[in-house]
Amino acid sequence: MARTKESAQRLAELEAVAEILTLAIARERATAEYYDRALHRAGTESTRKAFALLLEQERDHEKRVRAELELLRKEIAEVRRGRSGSH
Amino acid sequence: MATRAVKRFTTKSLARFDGMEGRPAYTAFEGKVYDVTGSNMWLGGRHESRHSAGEDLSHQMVNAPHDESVLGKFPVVGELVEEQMGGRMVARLQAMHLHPMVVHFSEVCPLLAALFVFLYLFVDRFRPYEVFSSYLVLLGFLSSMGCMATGFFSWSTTYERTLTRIFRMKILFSAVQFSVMVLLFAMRYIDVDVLTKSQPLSVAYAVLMFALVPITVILGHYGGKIVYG
Repeated sequence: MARTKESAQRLAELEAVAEILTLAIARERATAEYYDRALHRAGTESTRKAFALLLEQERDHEKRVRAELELLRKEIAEVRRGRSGSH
Repeated sequence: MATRAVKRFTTKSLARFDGMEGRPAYTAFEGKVYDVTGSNMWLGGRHESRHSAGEDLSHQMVNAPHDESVLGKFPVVGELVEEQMGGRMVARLQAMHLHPMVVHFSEVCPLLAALFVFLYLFVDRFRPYEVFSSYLVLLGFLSSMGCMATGFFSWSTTYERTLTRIFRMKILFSAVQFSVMVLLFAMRYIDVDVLTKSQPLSVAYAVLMFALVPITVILGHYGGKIVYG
């Protein structure tokens, strides 16, 4: 009983983090698109360089957050399997 | 001599060649896709800890300490083409920000409808208040359909249909708000005097109308949480 409660709590925690990361990915992507549009409008080499750098950073952030989310999803699936096995 | 067909990649299909977990590492530059698998400079699909394989790096060359001639030593495995019609359409619709545009109508209309019923019942029995409220319900019901359609599109494309608590609540309260407005519209359509005559249905109509306020506020709250955290 205590174990079930514990795993339910763990699952809720993991899902809350997964939600944060899901929303973060959308923001990273939106920011990357924003810089991408700015890059296409940039008139000088120096502004193009600056926007290219910012764009690259945002894409990298998205990739990192996505990797974290993948790990988290695996953990969530494991906790769920554990819960269904314990019933 | 047979001509080998040029393999075509879109941004999406190129992303699969990220050089991770044994997958090949491809990178694109100005429309050409290069195979950089096996290069010491692209171990694990990463280049100088800054760039990742599976991406179009055309705009990044400007910040590189070398020029594009370094790519000449890698085999070209295809060309980077624009997304198919469907993909382009989705991108265009995404750029129009349809949901944030439509959502305000289904937020404002039910709140104003409730306000005008409140004015009619408790301030002044001025019939146009009640009539105006019924039009707002109709407008709210119509905009709510648009809101749900654009919300579903946004959830599918931007959030990849991830069903977390916030989205569950948004879906639930959108369905409740829509149902309440349909019910209100039907009640008013069947009997135009549903509120003006004193009858049990008048109470139900008013209660449903005022219930739209917390429902809409909760919906707005979850929408705000998605956008602002």
